[in-house]
Amino acid sequence: MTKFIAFLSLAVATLLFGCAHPFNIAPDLSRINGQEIKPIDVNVGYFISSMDATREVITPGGGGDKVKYTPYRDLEPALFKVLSNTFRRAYPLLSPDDRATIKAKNITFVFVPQIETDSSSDSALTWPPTRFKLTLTCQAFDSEGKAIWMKQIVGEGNASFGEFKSYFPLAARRASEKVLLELQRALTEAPEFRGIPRSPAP
Amino acid sequence: MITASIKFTACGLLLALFTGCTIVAPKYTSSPTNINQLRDTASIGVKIGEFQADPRAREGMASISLRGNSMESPYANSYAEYLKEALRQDLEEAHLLDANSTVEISGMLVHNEVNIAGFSKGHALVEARFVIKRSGQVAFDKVKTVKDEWESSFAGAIAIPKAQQNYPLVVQKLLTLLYSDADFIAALNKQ
Repeated sequence: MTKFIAFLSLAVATLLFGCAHPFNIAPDLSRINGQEIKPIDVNVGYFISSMDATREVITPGGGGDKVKYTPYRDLEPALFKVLSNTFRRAYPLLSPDDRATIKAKNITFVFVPQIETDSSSDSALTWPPTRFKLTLTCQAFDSEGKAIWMKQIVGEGNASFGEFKSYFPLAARRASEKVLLELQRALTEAPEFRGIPRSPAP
Repeated sequence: MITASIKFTACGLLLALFTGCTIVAPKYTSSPTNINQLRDTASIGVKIGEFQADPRAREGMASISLRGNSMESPYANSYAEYLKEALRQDLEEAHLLDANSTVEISGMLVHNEVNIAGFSKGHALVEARFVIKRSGQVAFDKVKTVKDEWESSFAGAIAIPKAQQNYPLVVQKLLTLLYSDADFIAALNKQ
């Protein structure tokens, strides 16, 4: 009987505690709206390395648990949408200096994002984070590889149990939505991307 | 007798903890690759028609069983509606959605399975029939199938959310197959 209880306790502990729960930090894309924006009439590229795209990051959740996610893969569709809202077309690149695609698609600017995250929870009983912090540093280069613009944006999202019980990554979703919308605003207002000759359609 | 009662209660508690929950599949997210593929190749606006579940399919159309948990579709509790919404989002993001178009895409979800019974690998198989009609005439009618596999786990707390998060990626891959089909693009662009 003692052995059975010990086994049961171990099984429950193994299954419930200390896990890194799979998680997705993507924003709701329908809220990354670009209807108000007059797109800048050039094509752009962005580069996310294959190592970054598959890199798993683990940060704290609640109750001693952790959350595990792939920040670059999760945020790529939102980054693509922000760039597509702001410029004529956006294309993924194989490297920051992917000359073949840059030439074939008449790409004028290349964006390289860098993402850092952190999370925490004030709950000892539930694993999803109640706070999520996202720092996005985005650098832009011209088609010759010269750095022309950089912006660092920090966003924090919060969610209580009552809110995230239907969508566990809610705090992360809120943080990423703030950051991506701020990126869109910054790109739209940056003079570096305006006033240049139009590139012909590919 | 007391020992048996304790065992029974403990097992009941374990079962209550790990089975019978209803979870929801993540909403679909368009992939940049799919959007660019559509924008680079298709040139005519289309509208979305009906998407139905294959009446012969026994399971997976309204919910998918993941180790005793039921994963439901976030779109009208129907995975046929999930597929329809995925296609709609891709076409919208590619600026190809046109409610007044004479070109219509409809479909039928034939098979929809996510299997995480194994302790090391998760599997999915999604199959759907897509039909393009131009002014009521069938211009494209094909079945597309995608099989996918990912690292899974003995622990349900890992395996279930991982399967949940992989579902939209599987649907993305199914639609990548569709958009890469030269006959599909030809049927869309035919004058």
